[in-house]
Amino acid sequence: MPRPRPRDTVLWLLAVLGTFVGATAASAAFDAATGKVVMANAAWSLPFDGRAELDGASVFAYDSNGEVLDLTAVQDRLLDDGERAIEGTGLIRLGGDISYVSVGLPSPDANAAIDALRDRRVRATLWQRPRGTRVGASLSWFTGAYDDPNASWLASVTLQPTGNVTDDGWEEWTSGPFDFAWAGRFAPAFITFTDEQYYVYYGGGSWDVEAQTYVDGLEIVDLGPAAVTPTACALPSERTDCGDEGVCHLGVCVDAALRLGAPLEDAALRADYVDRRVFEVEHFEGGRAPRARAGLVAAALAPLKEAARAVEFWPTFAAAYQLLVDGHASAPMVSYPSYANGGVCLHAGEADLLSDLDAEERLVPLVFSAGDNELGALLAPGDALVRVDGLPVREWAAAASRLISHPGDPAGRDVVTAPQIFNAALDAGAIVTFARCAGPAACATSEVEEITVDLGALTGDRLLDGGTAPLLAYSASATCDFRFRRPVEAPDVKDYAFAGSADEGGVRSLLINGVPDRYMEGGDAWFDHVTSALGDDPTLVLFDERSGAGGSIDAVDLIAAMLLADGDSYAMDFLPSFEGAEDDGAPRAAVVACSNDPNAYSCGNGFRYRIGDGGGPVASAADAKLAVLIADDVSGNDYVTRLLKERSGGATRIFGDGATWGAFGVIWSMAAHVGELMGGSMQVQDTIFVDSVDEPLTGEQRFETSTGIRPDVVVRQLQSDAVFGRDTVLEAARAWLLEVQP
Amino acid sequence: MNRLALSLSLLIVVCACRGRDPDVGKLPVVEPKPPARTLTRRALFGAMPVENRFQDPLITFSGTGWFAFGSGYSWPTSYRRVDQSSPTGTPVLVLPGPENNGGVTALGQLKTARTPLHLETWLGREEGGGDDFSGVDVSLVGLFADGEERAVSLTIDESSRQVLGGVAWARFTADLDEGPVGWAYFMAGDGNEETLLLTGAVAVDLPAQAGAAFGFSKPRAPSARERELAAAARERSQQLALAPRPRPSRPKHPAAGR
Repeated sequence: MPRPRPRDTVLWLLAVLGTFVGATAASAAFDAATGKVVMANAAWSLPFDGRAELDGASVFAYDSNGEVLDLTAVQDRLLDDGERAIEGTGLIRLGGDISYVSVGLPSPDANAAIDALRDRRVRATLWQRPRGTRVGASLSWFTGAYDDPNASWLASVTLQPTGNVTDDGWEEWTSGPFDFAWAGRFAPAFITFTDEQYYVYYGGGSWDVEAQTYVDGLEIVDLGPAAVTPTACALPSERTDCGDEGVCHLGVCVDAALRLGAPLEDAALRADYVDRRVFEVEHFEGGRAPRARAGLVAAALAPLKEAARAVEFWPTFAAAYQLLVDGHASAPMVSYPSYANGGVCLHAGEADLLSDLDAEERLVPLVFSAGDNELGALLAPGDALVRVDGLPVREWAAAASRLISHPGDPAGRDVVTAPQIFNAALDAGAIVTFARCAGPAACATSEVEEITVDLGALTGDRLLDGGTAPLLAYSASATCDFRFRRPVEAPDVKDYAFAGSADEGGVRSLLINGVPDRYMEGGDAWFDHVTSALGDDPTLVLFDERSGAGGSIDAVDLIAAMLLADGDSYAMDFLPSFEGAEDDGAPRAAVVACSNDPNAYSCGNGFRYRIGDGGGPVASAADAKLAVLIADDVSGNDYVTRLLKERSGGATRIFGDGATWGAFGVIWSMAAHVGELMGGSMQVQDTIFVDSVDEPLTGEQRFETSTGIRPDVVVRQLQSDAVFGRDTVLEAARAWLLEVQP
Repeated sequence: MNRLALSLSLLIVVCACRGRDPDVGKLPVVEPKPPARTLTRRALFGAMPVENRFQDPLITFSGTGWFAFGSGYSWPTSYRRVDQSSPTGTPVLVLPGPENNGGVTALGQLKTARTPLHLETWLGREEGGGDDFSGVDVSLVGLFADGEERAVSLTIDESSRQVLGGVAWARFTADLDEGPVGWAYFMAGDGNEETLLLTGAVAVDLPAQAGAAFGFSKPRAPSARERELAAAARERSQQLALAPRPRPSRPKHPAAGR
């Protein structure tokens, strides 16, 4: 027997690894005798067999330049060609010069077939035949007609491939099963087709206006009664209240697929998908501590290969990626995360005026600000969120894990997630209870004014009664920046690229919300502001980075180089994973040697960044006494905070609660493999901070990811200060800066 | 309609019409029905393995897995991802040479390690573009454990040549006895500025015991362009930022509000 040639071995290996095709899941609608799809069982369909089908339809359509197209332009893309069509006598050509189309579904009030589906479970299916491009398709639910400007987003379902294809290139896409109407009330408002060339376009590629995909055979099939009964619910008991297919949304049970996204339905695709995401974690993750936890992710995801329900599929991904403790890790998404907060910003604090609570019970979120709306009218700064759905806040938040996330250092979780708790309560339609004490004296329980708000009554109940829910509107949401008061005020003070400074009582305050790239919009101004604020040898500096969303290495360097003295810190080694060879020092030595070579170009995506390499001013504020205020600080702001710990000139103290995220490396977005909104993200390096040029590269490798920077002075917003408009953290920092040293 | 059916129908039409008075004795033209399309299955990554060290095997551009560069290391004026028949059943990246003064090069990022590594990709010429791949440059560049940055050229597997839908395809491969450390950069372009199609980029570990059974590729010094492009890719992927969170919107063009 001849010995296999090496290439044969590789081909065999590839065949075994790559061409697994699961048990055929034949499309029920495909007639093998005719090679056509038959929509005989459709409760509603769009066969694209003639212009009349779209007459009167509400359509939003755009060409590749973003120019609006009218209904006629969409109808002109219909093609009467029974031979090419996989269903009926026609199809529609989408993509290319018609890059985005939202087709409104008929209103239930005007269409008996749609109306009959209100309490049914259905499946939407379509076929497409890529001819240069492909479209992604999704159904969306809104709180009103899709063209009503006051309507708010409720839910969406993204269609996914089934793995069924034809020999001439048609692909089947499905929603998977879902309950047609949100809580039996709102039918899907529209189906949207988006040309996937957008990804390439935003990657710098060109738009091929001639590329198209044929779309045909859109049908909705009635699968039986709705799986979820729209009864009243509470999030902690949603499994009991809503059953195995439902979640609690705005106080009413709705199908989980609408809120969380439908699981990948095809078993073979699902198994490959899970295996691929595990492979990415095991091989692409750069954080050393997260890499050691990759097995936890694999174990958490493995059961999803066998079976999956909407209540668990995508939420399991979200939970699994948090097990890494990689502050840059985010799971793939097929549905939008909760965004509404009704204009209310709650942040971690201490309800010190509630004298009957024990010390642990006083650590609850406090109202920092509330919008000018009916909810805001009920609340005041300093109100303490003491119960949600009758449970202590911490207990409720644990039950709401699908709506609350923090991938970074768990020591920072309470601080980072505090505002998310209110978002989650609004999303779930929870009953929230605030405790108010006017101060200055503490209040016994009998003196406390309790304010109880049924968020479900303000949202879900009204929607079910035919009303509106203004709290869910985009315009009602507020940016929460973790500050009770700001040392610098400006109209754009919450913007990411904002940097501003002010002098008061001998203290120079510098406020930032991240460390933006110089070349982004506002980047130049940010660099100028920071350089100006730290460039004239200030003596007392209050550096407020409580909202710190990271950004660029050069911006990190700008701040650090001005505040550090020569010799405080030498460099940072950004190192990709060496996949098990971390400890021998050789790969790191290779990266560092490469990085020191002026002719080097990539160094395996690793490099040594020497403090001051950015070319900005050096040590201009090295002698300043420095107070650093932290709260929600990730990535670039992790680095800034970490470097400032090395200061030897002026005294330095970090004020705050919790910890920075501990995300020490660059973030890369992962690819979307099945038309997800996002493929998630991961940190692809870890970092070693280098004290001096002669520090050895071998020996213990002190990688820092997963452990954020803790404050030197643990201080949190007190209720007793809040009711009088005082920012506890800010005042503690000021007081320390102004202390006269003995 | 397949070619055989088309030929038969044309023959019938020609025979039926030749020498006849069009108004007399018309015979009905019977077109043979094309064979019905058949239903089959396609795996998530087509014929590619799941365990693929390329960051974005389907070349979706939805992450940081791929870049394309024009002359120097500027953005090219034109490159596209298309879905069409390919040897791996996966989408194709089109690198249109004539539309890009100075050519266009695709760069894919892959995570490598000090293990034996097999690399392959399929390259094609657009329909009617012939099957000459002599002007193609396809390589892997990376940092090896000795601290040197080197390149490895992928070479054509002549036995792999095939034509699908009028497109001539060939597989290019390389086997390394030890992969680069960290992240490496795969590059493909055409030095003659001809349009090049790219699909099925695969990097898989070889069994450690593969040893000398493979004709391992010999690393070389990278070219100036390879160095420039790898540096440019690294520059464009160094964000120290928070993971993005998408927000829903009412129907609007995806470009709006960006």
